[in-house]
Amino acid sequence: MTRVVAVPDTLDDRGFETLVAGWAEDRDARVLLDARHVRWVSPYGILGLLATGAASLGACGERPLLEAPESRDVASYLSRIGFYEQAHRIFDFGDHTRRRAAGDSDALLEITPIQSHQDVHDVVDRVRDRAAAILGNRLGYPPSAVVHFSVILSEVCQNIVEHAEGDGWVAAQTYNWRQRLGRQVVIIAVMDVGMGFRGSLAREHAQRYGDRWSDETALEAAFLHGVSRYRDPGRGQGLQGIRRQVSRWNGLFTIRSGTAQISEIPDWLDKQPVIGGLPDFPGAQIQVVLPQIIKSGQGGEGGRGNG
Amino acid sequence: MAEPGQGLGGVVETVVHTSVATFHSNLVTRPTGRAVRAAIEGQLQETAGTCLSLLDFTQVDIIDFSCADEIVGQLLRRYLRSDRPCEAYFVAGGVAEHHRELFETVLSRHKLLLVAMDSDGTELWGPAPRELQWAWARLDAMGLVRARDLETREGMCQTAAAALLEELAAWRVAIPKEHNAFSSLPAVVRQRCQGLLPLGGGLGRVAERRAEYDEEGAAEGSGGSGRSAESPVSHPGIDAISA
Repeated sequence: MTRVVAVPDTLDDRGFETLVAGWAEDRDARVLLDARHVRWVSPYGILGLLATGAASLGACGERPLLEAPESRDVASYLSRIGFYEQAHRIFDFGDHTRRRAAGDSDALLEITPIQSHQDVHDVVDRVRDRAAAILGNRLGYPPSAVVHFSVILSEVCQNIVEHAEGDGWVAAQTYNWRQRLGRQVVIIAVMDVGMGFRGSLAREHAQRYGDRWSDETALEAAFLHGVSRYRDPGRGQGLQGIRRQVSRWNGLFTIRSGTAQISEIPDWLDKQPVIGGLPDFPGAQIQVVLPQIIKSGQGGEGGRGNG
Repeated sequence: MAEPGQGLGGVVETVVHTSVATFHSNLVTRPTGRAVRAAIEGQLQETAGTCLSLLDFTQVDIIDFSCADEIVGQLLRRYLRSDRPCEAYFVAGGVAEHHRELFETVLSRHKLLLVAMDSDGTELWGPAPRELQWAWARLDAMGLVRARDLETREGMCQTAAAALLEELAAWRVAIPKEHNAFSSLPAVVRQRCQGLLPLGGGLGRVAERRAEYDEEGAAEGSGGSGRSAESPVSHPGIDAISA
């Protein structure tokens, strides 16, 4: 029997939690993800939709069904960012969706599967020029920021290859967060449905934590203390480096894994740094939000929306 | 800090100049770092005797933590160990300012020291205690130094001065010489690589310091100053200069 799970109309980080909660009610059943009423998506939300489909496929062994968004703007955006190319590998759905035409995307980085180190190289190579233009011209970052941005992108993508032991995706897009922040942001989303932080670190570190070992402590160990599944002291630097750089830019850096989420929180966001008790979800879901630098007398502009 | 390496290198016979960016345009991922490190080590194994490896990062646009760890962290660790493949010292050249923190992070994680040269001069990177930083700065300024020089010039107990210099050598950021003398790594680079280093405006300072070094009256081991000659290039981006 197929169970219908409604996809929230705003499919961002919060919408993803709603989606996961709906899916987690019965993981063993084949699901139909009903995205017809989706009106707005973020990279995190889009990858979340793919990840939920992949998790469902892994859990019940049957390809989930997808009802695509009816909104022409959203459907067009999903085509341009390469959603359907990836979705066809996971979902069963009507072939009425539009495949992306080459070169018509304005995304910073279209949805890109990450399965190998070469994929990481390709992403870094591909995004460089666009990132330089967007970070410099639209967000007001210094020229060297593209280097730090590339390092962030490289390290979060390598996290999939080195630790997840499962497929993953990355996407990045600029937005005008007029309502939420009053300025433009770049959002990087990276997701996988692999073993997650707890699974990755368990063999080396679970015993030391005893009964306290959980998704929360695993995330804290990696995020705050640079702990890695490898004993080599050189491992675990990537997340620490990302935290420092994102904090310098007053950005947001969150990792969700299993039932917990941990964040490096900027001063413009009121949020708990560690959240537990979330619906269990495989792998790791990472979001980086980099805000526009506001010089004195400069305000945000534009609206919020896809397209 | 971790235990320093056992055994001290002798006279530098070869300087190997490696343009790291030649191997890959973007130095990201661990496999890339391992490939670069393997190429560097391959070149070192072709040299005879003690060598100094100048890792030139001038053309590197992007380097991430993982790749830097494989190139710098794992390389220095390997050659700090008593079972290192050969006697080699390392100097990082032309590291962009926006990459420096990344290098410092790698060095701190491994508790390693690294000599860096760029257009602004030379520095000792890594988590060195203050007194070790001081001793290295004196050594770098003088080019060649004996414990008694520090004692005389700085009013320091000779035993303490000798201990600091030996510790620098144990960390392989100073080269022990005959008669309890120690040479700075940048002094060797300046002497052997004049005209080769693409390290920007630093060459002016290089020449200036080299003169100071030569005034000490100490020949650079068996090499001597101004006797450098390029050897055939056997790897892309690598020049070997034999004394």
